[in-house]
Order: sequence, then structure tokens, then C-alpha cells
Amino acid sequence: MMKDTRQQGLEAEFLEAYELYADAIFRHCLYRVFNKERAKEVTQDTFMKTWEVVARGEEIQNIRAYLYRVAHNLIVDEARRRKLRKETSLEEMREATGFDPGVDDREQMQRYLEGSDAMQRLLELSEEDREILILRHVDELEPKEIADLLGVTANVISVRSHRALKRLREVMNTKHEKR
Amino acid sequence: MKNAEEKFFKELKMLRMDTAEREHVREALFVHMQKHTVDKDALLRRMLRGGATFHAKAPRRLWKMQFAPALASVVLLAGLGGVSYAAEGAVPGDALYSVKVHINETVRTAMAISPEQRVVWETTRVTRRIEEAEALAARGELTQENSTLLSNRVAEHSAALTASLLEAEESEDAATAGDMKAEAALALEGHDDLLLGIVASAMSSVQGDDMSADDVSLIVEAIRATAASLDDTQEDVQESLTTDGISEGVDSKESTAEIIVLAKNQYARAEERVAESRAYLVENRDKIGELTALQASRIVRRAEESLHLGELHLEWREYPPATDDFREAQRLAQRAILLVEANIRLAIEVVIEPEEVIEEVDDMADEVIVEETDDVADATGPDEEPGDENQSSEEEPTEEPTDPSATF
Repeated sequence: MMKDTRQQGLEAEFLEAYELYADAIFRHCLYRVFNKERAKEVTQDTFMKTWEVVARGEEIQNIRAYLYRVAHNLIVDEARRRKLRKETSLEEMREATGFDPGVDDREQMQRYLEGSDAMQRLLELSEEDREILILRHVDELEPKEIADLLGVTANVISVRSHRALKRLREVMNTKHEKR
Repeated sequence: MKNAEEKFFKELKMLRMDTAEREHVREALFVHMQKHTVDKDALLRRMLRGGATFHAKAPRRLWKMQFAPALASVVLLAGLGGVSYAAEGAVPGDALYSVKVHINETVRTAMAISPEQRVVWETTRVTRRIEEAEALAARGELTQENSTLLSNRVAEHSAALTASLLEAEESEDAATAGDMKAEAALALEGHDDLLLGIVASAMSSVQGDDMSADDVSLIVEAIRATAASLDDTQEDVQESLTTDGISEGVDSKESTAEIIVLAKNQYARAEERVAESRAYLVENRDKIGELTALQASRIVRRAEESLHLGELHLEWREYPPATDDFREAQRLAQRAILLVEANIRLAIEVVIEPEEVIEEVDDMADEVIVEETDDVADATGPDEEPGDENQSSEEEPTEEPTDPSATF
């Protein structure tokens, strides 16, 4: 009886974690895969895989960091798969995944976020800069958490974050000059 | 440029799944969870080892860094046993006061690990010093030396509280950090007037010979300075939400949602606290004096009026004034609780609401509402069960913003 209550409690807590972090994980995925539907799928997979770990009774010290890690790994896998897909024929690709390489995901993204000034600036940055800025300033992860996620030291994260901010300012200044 | 950056990141943070998408993913997740049920044996083993399965909010420091000082302090405290417990009631000048401040409180400081715990503890610490001043004042022993000592300590703890709040702002969402500030402000509510009332009462008797109004004002000012800094921050939160909602078209929808959430949260808290104050008054009616009962019951009524006014504002969808009314209702309810609690704790009756007493003292016998036992049920409203604080917020005909306050 006690175990059942605990099980129900875990499910309720996990669904609360979903309410709490779903948007942040979705954003994180979206700014990495630049495709809304894929971002949604990766978000869903992230929570499902994390639940499987919880259900196995494994301990997760920091559910938020864990979710980011799972999402990050899924995105890396996704990128790896895409790289492989490029080596297959277009027909195979269409048949296997429905993926249409004729549509640039970034263009899709721009259309989705039409009018978003911030998105335009974001797209002008390198992937590395974008990743670090999103993790630090949008997802608001601590340098140590980002360091654990990316497998580098917190110092490296601080330096990268500083440089990325500098480049963001340059992009913003360019925008002002154009006007 | 910094503003431009802030705006940039704020805009990026706005992006989220729409309600239908969120629900869709949530349903898929729920179905998945039913297919992958919890391994009960593994869970039980973990429970027996005392481990949690997951925590929503991560510890920010390493385990050893967090727990080592706390563990050492607990061991020390266990060794001291009853001495430590006895010291809890000590005031400056008592033999055990040093144990209370330097041992017991050091342990509790070490035990407060998260920013939220630190905010709660530093708030408690400020009120402990104030209550010591009140106890000394009631005994006529709030001398210049004690006043200076305690006002300095109030200022020190207040600075630590501010630091903890800033830390909480960085680690928690804005609403949670705002709630912490509101709770801290409420904990200080009425203590300045209470202390002045106690001193006035004690000085009118022979007990107050060693006390002077100037000395007491040091502590009163320290209390007011702490309360003012917390109130200012509360106003800032509300103002920033209102300003964002009106002037910045980009995020007006989000800000409006936040304003609604703020008002609703305050409503639930106000309802709860007003009901609590009335119940506390009824429960302790036999232990308090007539003067205290009269003042407290009047204050509770004013709290109920504010609550009702807030409900009207909510009905009219005037959220910022509604929030103000609910905060006022909580403030008044807390004030009533403090007055009753102080009468029991210090065995002294004080006047903290002079206008109430002067105008109405003749009607005292008729006005003490705590004798009307039916009023307890009325405090939560005519159509609700006592303690059902969620009901009315569910009735509110507005969109349902997400509640980011889940804890584990």
C-alpha cells in the first residue's frame, strides 16, 4: 500500500517536473534543431527517457540538469543521424523519414518566428556561441551545470560565455549601424 | 547595451509550446509512464536506504561542502543536549544567551542549505532578536546596552536576509522569490508597534525605570528599516509586472498572465491567513485579556474587509488593486495573530491600535467577535468549507497560467 502511494506520488512529481521544465527544454531543443515539430518530439523523448530512468528506481540528483543532458544527447544523436542521412539518396531519405532536404529548417524557423528580432540576431551567431548563450542566459544554467553537460570545465564555459556575449554585442551593433 | 541584451534574452525566453502542444506531449508522456511502471522493488530498496529518486531543484554545492559544517554542528548540539534546548528561551543578560546565539543559531545557520532555507532562517533570526527585545521590554529590562546590542543584531541579520533574498532571486523564479520576500515582510509585521506598546505599558509602571524611549527607538528603527526594504521590493515586483504589461507590447500577454497569477496567489494566501487569524483568536480567547481581544477582533474584521474588497476587484478584473487588497488583508491578519500571541507569550496587554481602542472601548463587551463561535466558518466565505482555499481561485474566469512552484 505504501509503495503504491509512493508510486503515485512519483508520477505526480514527475508530471509536475514536466509542467515546470517542458517549456525550457522545448526552447533549448528548438534553438538547437531549428524545427518546431522536431523540438517537440525531442522534448517528448527527453521526458519519456528520463521517466524510464526514474521508474527503474535510479536516483537523479538534479532533474533539471538531467533533462538538459538527455535533451542534449538526443540532439547530438539527431545531428549525427542527419549527417549520415546526407550520405544516403534523396529517395531513401524521403521514404525513411519523410525529411525533405529541399526545405531549410532555418528558413522554416524564421518563418515560424517571423518578426522576432532576437531570432534574427541568434541566427547570425555561430552554433557554439548560440548554444552557450542559450544555456547560460535563456535556460539560466550555472556555468558548472553547463560544464557538466558539455564535458568541459566551468572556466572554459565562463570564457566561452564571455566571448559569445561579445560577439552578440557586435551583431547588435551591426544591426544599429545598418539602421 | 545591457538593456538591449536583456531584451534579447527576454524575447528568446518568451518562446514556448502552445497549450494544445503542451497537453499533447503531456498526454503522450502519461501514456508512456503507464507502460513503464515504477520498479517497486528498486524503489523500496532506495527508500530503505533513505534516498530520494529525484529532486527538482539541484543542490548548488558539493555534498561535502554543504553538509560537513552542519553535521559537525549537529554532533556538537547532540552533545549539549538539554542545555541547548533550555537556552532557546534566553534573552541578553541570561547565562544561556551565548549558547542560544553562538551554538544553537550557528547550527541552524549551517543547516540552512538552500537559498530558500536561508531566507526562512534569517527571517526567523531577525524575529528572534525582536522577540527578545519584546521580552526584555515587558520585564522593564530593555536597557541602553540591550537595545544597542539587539538593534545591531537586527541590522546584521537583516543584511544576511537581504543577501539570501538576492541569492534566492538568482536561483528561483521571480514568483517564488517574490513570495519569499512577502513572507519575510509579514513575519515582521506589527512588531514595531508591539514593541512601542510594550515599552509604553512597562514605562507607565515602576518596571520601566531602566528604559528610555530613545534607546527603544534604535530597535524600532532597525525593524522598520528591514520591513521597508522588503516592502519596497514587493512594490517593485508589482510595478515591474504592471509596467511591462502596459508599455512593452511584446510581452504584454505574458505580463498580464503574471499579474493574474500574482493576484490569485495573494488571494489564496489572504483567505488562508485571515481564516487562520480568526481561528487563532477563537482558540486562544480564554488566554488573552479583553483589551487584546477587542483590538485583535477589530483588526481581523478589517482584514476581512480588505479580503472582500480584493474579491470585488478580482471580479472586476482589476488585478493590481486586488493584489494590494489581499496583501493588506494578510498584513492585518498577521498583526492580529501577533497581538494575541504576544499577550500569551509575554503576559502583558498592550495597545497597538490606539484609534480602535479609544473610539470603541465602551463597546468592548459587545464587540469581541471571538465569542460568536459561528464566525469561524464565516471567515472563509459563505459558500466555502473552511480551509478550502483553492476553490475560489478555480472559480476565477480567467485563463490558467502555469504554476511554476512545484517542489520536491
